[in-house]
Amino acid sequence: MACPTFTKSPWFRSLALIVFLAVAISVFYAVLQFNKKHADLGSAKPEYSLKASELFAEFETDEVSATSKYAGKVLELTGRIAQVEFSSADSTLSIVLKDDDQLSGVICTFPGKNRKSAHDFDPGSQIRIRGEFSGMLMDVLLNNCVIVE
Amino acid sequence: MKNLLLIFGTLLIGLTLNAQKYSSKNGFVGFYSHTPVEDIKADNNQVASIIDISTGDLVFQILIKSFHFDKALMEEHFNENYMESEKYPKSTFKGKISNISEMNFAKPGLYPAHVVGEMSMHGVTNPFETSGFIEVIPDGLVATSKFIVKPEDYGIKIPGLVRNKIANEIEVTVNIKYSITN
Repeated sequence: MACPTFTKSPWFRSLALIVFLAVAISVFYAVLQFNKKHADLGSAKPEYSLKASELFAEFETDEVSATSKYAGKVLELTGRIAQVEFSSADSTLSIVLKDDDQLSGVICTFPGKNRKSAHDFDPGSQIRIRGEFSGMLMDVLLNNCVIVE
Repeated sequence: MKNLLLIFGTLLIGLTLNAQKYSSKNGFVGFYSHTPVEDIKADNNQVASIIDISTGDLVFQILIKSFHFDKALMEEHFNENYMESEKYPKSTFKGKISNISEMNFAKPGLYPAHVVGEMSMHGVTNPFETSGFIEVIPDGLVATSKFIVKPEDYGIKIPGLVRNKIANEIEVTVNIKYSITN
């Protein structure tokens, strides 16, 4: 079957090429978005940088306003390692930052790929951690954490 | 004097036995949705829970934002479109282990547990009942359970476009290691 003559026009050909490219780029972009991994906090710039005890104090004063202040934000915290724990199910690492006289503090949870062994941490020593704010239960919770130093 | 000591001793033991609470702040709750089109899995390792073994009282608190997905976009949709975690940040369970009297907390072992109570998420509270296990270990307890939750029971709407990607029944796995609290 012969093609209609207009398909041979250079205008039509360039238009077809543009449409094809646009579709290809959108599909590529959609697949990229769908498979997008979490941002690497190791290179992310924290929106707030403070002491773990200061952060916890803000939540003790006013949980509601502190929750909305930090919602979805990347925080960098310095604090004293009170406990290093592994969850029983998949041994995900959690580090608790708090002072001796506090009942609760900040819990930083590390997804599998950022996991280190418990021997890497000395309870009582100072650490700097970056993580995404999740919210507060008994403690303030940070997720997807990485060790800064 | 000896008798007095004995009485004090007995009282002290009685008191510690009465006030036995076990707690965890880094418990695991995961869920799994299976459809022929897609399998979706998310993990939460920041679950807080308390068991009072003298009464059987059991409490769970979960932050919705603490669920971790492999794909960032899925986590975003889960929080923003389905669970509305800004509006409803927590999910809770309050209830009892109804057969707690059948467990011997002095003897390590695996005990079947029956749990009854109320579960709240996405602003909806429903009666809830399931079974699982309590394992008594030397330094605490491990609670495990697996059950089904239907998103529609909690007013979680799944749009037609992704209906075939998200199961009607979500399998939830619980695994919490408790240590004794003073």
